[in-house]
Amino acid sequence: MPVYNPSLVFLELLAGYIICALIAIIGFVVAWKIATGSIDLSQLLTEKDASGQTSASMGRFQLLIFIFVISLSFFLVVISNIKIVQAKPTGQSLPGLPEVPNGVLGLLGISASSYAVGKAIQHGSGTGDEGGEAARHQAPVPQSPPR
Amino acid sequence: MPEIAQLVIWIGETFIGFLVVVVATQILTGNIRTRGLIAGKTASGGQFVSGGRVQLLIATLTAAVGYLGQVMQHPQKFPDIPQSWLWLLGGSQLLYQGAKLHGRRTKRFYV
Repeated sequence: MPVYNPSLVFLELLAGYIICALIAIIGFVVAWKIATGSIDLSQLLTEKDASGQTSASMGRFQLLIFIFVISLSFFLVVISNIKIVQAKPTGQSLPGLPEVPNGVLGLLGISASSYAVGKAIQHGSGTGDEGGEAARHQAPVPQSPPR
Repeated sequence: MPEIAQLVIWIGETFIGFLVVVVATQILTGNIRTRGLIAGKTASGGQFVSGGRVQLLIATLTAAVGYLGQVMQHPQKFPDIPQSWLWLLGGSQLLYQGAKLHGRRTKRFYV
């Protein structure tokens, strides 16, 4: 079994704790801003429809659901692997990140591409977020004075 | 002092749990707008329940709950998604997008 320099082990631990603290602070700030309304989520699921009004989008809703499901699953698998190693400390190192199967990538791909196709259809009919706004706020073409 | 692995688990659980709870609460209280999620509009401005949106919603929720159930049963490994599920979801999406495109081209309805 390899013997490591104690100062290197201490440095490794310190770096680990600092990275954990940094990520926790960033997560806490994001969570705080969401909770206090500084990060506004009210338009998370909406997009402009054909009449220029906003309504909920199925594409966005599906993408949100699948992202939550896959991220929760990934986290559960990682925790489960860590707990297995902690329960049987036989000197084995922590396992790497779990491999994501092609089916899961396909699922996210279908969802994300359908969101993009929906956007394309919307923009094609001139009711996209940017296209519709641009069309509404377009300055009138100046008329040339009669000669 | 807790181990780093334990610390990572606590931070991750707290953050993901918070995000799920906040988004779910805001959807349920109406802060995140879901009005019109299953509705379509006719050219004259009338609303109707869109079959394309309803079937996509059912397919999405079924797939999501089914997948989470699989993970809960065997959390040691990422379960693969059966090919039939992908065909089902792809077909469902195709139906919805096809109806959307058809409605916009004919200018009779918008979903």
